[in-house]
Amino acid sequence: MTEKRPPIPQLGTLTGLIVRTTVERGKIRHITLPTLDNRFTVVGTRDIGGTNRVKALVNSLPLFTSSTVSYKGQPVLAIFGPDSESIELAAREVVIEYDEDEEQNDRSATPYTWAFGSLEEASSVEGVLSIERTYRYGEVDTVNNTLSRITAELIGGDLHITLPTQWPHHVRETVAEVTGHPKKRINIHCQNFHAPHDEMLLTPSHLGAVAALGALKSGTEVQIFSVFSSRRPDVKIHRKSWYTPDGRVHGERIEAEVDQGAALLFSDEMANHLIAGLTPIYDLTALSISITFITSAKEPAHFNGDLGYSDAQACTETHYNTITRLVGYNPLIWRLKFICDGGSHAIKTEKGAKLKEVLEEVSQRSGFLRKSAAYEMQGQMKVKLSTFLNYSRGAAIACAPGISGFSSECRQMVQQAVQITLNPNNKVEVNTSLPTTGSSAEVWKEIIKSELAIDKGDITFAEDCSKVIDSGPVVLSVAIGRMPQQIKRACALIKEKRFVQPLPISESVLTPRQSGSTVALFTSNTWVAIALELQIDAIMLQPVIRSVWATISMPKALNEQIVRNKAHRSIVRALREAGGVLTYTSSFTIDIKIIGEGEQLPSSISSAVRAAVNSAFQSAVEQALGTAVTRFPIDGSVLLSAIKGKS
Amino acid sequence: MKIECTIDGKALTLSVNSNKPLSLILMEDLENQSLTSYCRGNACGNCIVMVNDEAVLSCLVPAFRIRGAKIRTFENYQRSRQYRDIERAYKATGSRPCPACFNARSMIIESILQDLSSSNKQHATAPLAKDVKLDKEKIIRELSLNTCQCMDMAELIQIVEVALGYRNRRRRVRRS
Amino acid sequence: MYEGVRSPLVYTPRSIGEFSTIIFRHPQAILWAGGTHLMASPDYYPSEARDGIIDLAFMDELKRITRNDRYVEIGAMVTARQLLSAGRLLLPPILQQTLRSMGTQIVRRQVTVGGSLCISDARLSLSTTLAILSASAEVKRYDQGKVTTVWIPVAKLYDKEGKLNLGSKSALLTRIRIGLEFGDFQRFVVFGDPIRKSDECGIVALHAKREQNGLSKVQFCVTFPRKAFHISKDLESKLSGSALPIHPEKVNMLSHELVAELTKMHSTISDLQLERARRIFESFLHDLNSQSLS
Repeated sequence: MTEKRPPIPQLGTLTGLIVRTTVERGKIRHITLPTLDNRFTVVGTRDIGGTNRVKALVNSLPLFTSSTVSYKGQPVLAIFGPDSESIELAAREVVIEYDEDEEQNDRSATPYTWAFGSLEEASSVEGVLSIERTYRYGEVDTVNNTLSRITAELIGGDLHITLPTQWPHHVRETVAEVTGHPKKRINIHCQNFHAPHDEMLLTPSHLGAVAALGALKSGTEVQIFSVFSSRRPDVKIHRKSWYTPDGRVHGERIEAEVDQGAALLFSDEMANHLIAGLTPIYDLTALSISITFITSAKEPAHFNGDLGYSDAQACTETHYNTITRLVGYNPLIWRLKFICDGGSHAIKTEKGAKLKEVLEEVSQRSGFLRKSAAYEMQGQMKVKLSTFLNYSRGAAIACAPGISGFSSECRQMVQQAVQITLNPNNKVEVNTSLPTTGSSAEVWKEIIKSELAIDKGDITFAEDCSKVIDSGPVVLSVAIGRMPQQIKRACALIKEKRFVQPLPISESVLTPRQSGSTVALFTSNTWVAIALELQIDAIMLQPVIRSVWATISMPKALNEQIVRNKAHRSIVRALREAGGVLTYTSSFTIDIKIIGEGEQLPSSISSAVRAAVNSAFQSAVEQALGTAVTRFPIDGSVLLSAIKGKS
Repeated sequence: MKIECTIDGKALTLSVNSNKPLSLILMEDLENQSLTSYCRGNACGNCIVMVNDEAVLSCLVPAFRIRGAKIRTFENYQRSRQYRDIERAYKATGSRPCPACFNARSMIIESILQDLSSSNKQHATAPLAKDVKLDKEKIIRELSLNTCQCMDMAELIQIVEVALGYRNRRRRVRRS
Repeated sequence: MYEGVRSPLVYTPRSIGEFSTIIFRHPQAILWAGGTHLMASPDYYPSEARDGIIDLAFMDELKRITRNDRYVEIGAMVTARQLLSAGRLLLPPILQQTLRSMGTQIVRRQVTVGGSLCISDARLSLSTTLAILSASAEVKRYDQGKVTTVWIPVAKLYDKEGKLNLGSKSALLTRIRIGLEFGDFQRFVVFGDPIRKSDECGIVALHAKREQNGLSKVQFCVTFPRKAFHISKDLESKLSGSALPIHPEKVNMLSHELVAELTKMHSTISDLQLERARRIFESFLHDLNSQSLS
């Protein structure tokens, strides 16, 4: 006997779709809706009981627009109906009339600056030369087709919203502010998510608020299926460096322009991350950095795996690889000579000796010195990239310190807490809004187990969503970078009171802050060095990766295999996004070595791996082509322009 | 249109539009949790299901073509013995696809294993697969159906090799 | 069904005769072969197919592969996978390579020969290769109650932009015929992704016969989906009769002539596509040279 299934999953559940603008800039003159019966609910700006804004720390963007259009694809209204077919057809019949504007880019009021030393002195050193380059880091061509489901339902005055999100408390705040519904009566039920480019940071709050409006207006459960995507900010970095023929770089002036699309979100903190990446870890007498944020008629761009650190760091490493070539040094030898002990002014790191060890190790394992010297000689070939001798090779080296979390100057982010409670019978409950499944949670459990001498099976996580503490957004590797420190600190506080005070003992720990008079933006106790070899396929005009070697220096990891897997994944993703083609021949390797020393908790390596890989890739392509390649990612058109001399 | 078919072992009569893609039927009408992608037929490779024991892209199968068909999604497949071979391979190699493409990649690997195993069946009395050299080019072409960028081909080939080893061992044990 | 969307009626003819009856009654009906291209269009679902869908999957006449001494005939509903498997010993290597390039096994199970040739606005791999193999297609035209059957060379099925023209609004491609005599030099290359990024894609195919130290019967086609379907008679005649090895300067000159032709006749091809096609064409000629010297 066959089971009969109706066409909709649950009677009464409405499915929603967002209607969006189809022009980049302008004003909405008129919206014409199709005739819809009472099975449909339309939600727009008029249905917003609270404020029509989705906040992101200081700034915000509108939930719906009924007048000004800031970018193509901006939400205008939402239609809820009995099934996806009906709402899709209804949405096609919505007519929006516009008065289009010409695009104009707005700049932020004051550039963000960071400087030390005197550029005037640096640029007037005897025999000084200079190099000037502009690097562009643009949008990566990735397509995300994963549909996530957001549901909202009003049950007995309580609004229940189920969705994947990197920031549950932000969803609650946004829904409360948009709908005017009391915050205490909004329950967020988090689903598992996978967001390698921070797709689930703000969009879930946006769509959650729309779903909440739909549920409140229709009085029934609603669901929205949507693809979540995130856009990488376009970054243009102009660098002018003054150096002497002995290889020493005396001063550098850096001007960066960041296009964040239609809204400047998290710009303050992004400036800090860019500064951290732009400041070289090499000897420098003077440095001046100026960062300007601009808006344009594109979707807002902010977090995209990190907050600009990897692009900035990659730019620095690539630029210095170019300088080493100009002064006739091998990039490895140059680095060993000019590494600054203790890191840069922006990042406080381990001693320079550690980095030297890591660089030498990766160079030796990869045969970098020999390869680099051999491939430099390609520049003497008469016919470059001939289809007759159809390859051209390059090898490069790059390094970066690993950082995680927000900078020491980030004041707008509320200090994110975690609470640990030791209950009778050695049961521990961890209260955090961060995801409690996955490898990071296993690391936390290991820490608690070793600090409090209890079984892992006795560690649970708070589930009552109304009582879960705000641990902040799941970005910048906080789960593995910052959280272990907080958990360790909480355990230490509990240990002091254990056997002294009655149970339960509860300790909350906020985000750790750096101490000392001169506080760097970040601290790091990990180093990543990458050596990469590739060849340009002269027929397809594609950079084909031959091999990658990575050496990672970090305090002893609790589970080295997890670190290795994460590093491998980061390398593969970074190379693909950069435009590299990965081969599968027996000679292709991604060889990762981890040097684990010390007992501290390590800072995250993800951004550092991405930065070092991107830089090594870009520098290797430059060596293979024999011309500058300053646009990133590198695709066939970039190679073609470089060949034709129009970089 | 009324369509009668079997989905994950359950005989169902669906009332859907005749041209509705199978992937949307599974996601929207049946709330199948193992399918989360809809690329509108652009072959992202994330919507693989088995139709009559053959892997297909469910976004390219219209409702009118599944009449009387036996459909198996990852939700059901992951409970099978065949899936254990692949799961063990993930564990043994230390590599796993990311959550976004895990289901589809596992199904593609299963499709490859079935293909390799059926070519082994021709030599039914001969020792199984130990010395068979894998056609890596062919395997890579099959694996490239899924466009997720989380893994490189060398890892995936290793997983296929190890999974094939487990499967052949299981078959040998069953025979003996 | 759903308000505003009527479920299209699906007709399942089992023979060409039945098909004829249906198509005369419903001339606007969508012909459904594998369906891979139809379902990949942006507004495919939900949408109305007002005159219904004619599912060709039950027409056994379209699924046959027959051969004699001179040619092989392949039904339009033969899938790429079936053709590859059945034609392993029979088909020219370039066609086998083309079929393998049409996605993975999973996709090839659904892609049909006829469906691939009859995509209205984009030419892909199979059209390119069949054009240079001088294949021809049997087309049945249904106009004003009459059925006419014609054989058309595959190269003539399309205009210079690659748009399909079967000579009638209601027409059915039933089979293709490929001669069993083919040249010993065959090359086929696809760059880019024809399905996911057809704007950046290109397909280059060359087929020639080497006789002593010369080339004859050169056939060459370069396709850019949705932009160009280019067969250069001029280049073919310059290459046919050429002595091997071809001088590098001539190789260079011919490749740039190709680019000049493409630029003149198809303005929408990007610089990168042109450069890649040129390099591929050059590499074919270098290959010819190196084979002639070994």
